[in-house]
Amino acid sequence: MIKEIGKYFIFIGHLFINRESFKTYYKLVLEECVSIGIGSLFLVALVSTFMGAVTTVQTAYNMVSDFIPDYVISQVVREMIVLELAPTIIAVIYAGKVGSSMASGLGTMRITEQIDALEVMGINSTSYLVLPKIIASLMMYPMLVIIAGICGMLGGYLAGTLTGIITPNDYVYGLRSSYNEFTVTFALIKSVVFAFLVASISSYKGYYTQGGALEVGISSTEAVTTSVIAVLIADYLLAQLLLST
Amino acid sequence: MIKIQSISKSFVDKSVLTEVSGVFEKGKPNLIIGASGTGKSVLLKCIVGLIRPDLGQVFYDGRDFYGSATDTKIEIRREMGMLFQGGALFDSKNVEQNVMFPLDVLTKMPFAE
Repeated sequence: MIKEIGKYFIFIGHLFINRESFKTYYKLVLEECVSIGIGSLFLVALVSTFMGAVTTVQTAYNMVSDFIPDYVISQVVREMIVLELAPTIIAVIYAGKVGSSMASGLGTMRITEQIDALEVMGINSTSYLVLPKIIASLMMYPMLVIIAGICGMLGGYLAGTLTGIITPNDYVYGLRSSYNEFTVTFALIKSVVFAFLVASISSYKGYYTQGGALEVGISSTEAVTTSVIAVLIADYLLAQLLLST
Repeated sequence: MIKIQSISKSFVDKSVLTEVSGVFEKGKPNLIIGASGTGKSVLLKCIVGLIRPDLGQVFYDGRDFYGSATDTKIEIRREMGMLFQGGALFDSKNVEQNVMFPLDVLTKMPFAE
């Protein structure tokens, strides 16, 4: 375990030595941004819309007292989506979609000796292949989280108003009342950390794949599992560090 | 000229290469033959630096590959060419992009050139 963590940090260190030209990275980062960002947009929007809808219905179901005004439902929905559902649950989905794709792509390159070919050419394969993925992930994931937040609240609005749980005015009032800007800052800090963890861990697992096609599948599964565990641990630590009074 | 000196490599408890030495002179074709699993690929990978030998040295025109700084290693590597067993073509790129790849990444040559 300790050896594995050490190897991971050495891998991260290799990203920043003997880099290629800016032009090379620019092209690669743009390609990765399209693949990561545009490729995940539909899934993120779909999941977060339904997450918002379900959160609204379930919150309303639990608010049985007449003393609690209806707008509290959308307040709860807002806090849940911004603080937890958009950055963390989407990170789990992100690990499943983007992380597994990174790990299997690099794993396949490893077993077909494409990474060795880069090394023989004198190219730092870690930096050439992994750094653009991490940079693109750091750029695109916070945007996906913002989109997830918007879609989640929109999903909640639709579910709440179409079923008559809450009036449109109450929903909007609840979203705007007692708003604390730091929750958004906190969500964005989390999104940057999660983006780095998912991209770096998945790339690490893929990069060190050994064997054949079966091992690529194993690496891909390990990448998702390890990324999700790292995201959950980081989630707790960040909440403890930034939200505890 | 490539000179290898007492290269030894073992994986876990299995010794694959034991004190292999030789000289590969410029302009002369050299042949390494042996039964499957005897370490031909491991030897080649040790020569190009993909696998670090446990013992021994590799010299490229007198320059000690494993004893060199990273910059010198990269310089030496850019003089190498290796055809891999499985081809190792970048399958996400087309033939033209594969051929162009080293020129695109390692030089500042414009696309038209």
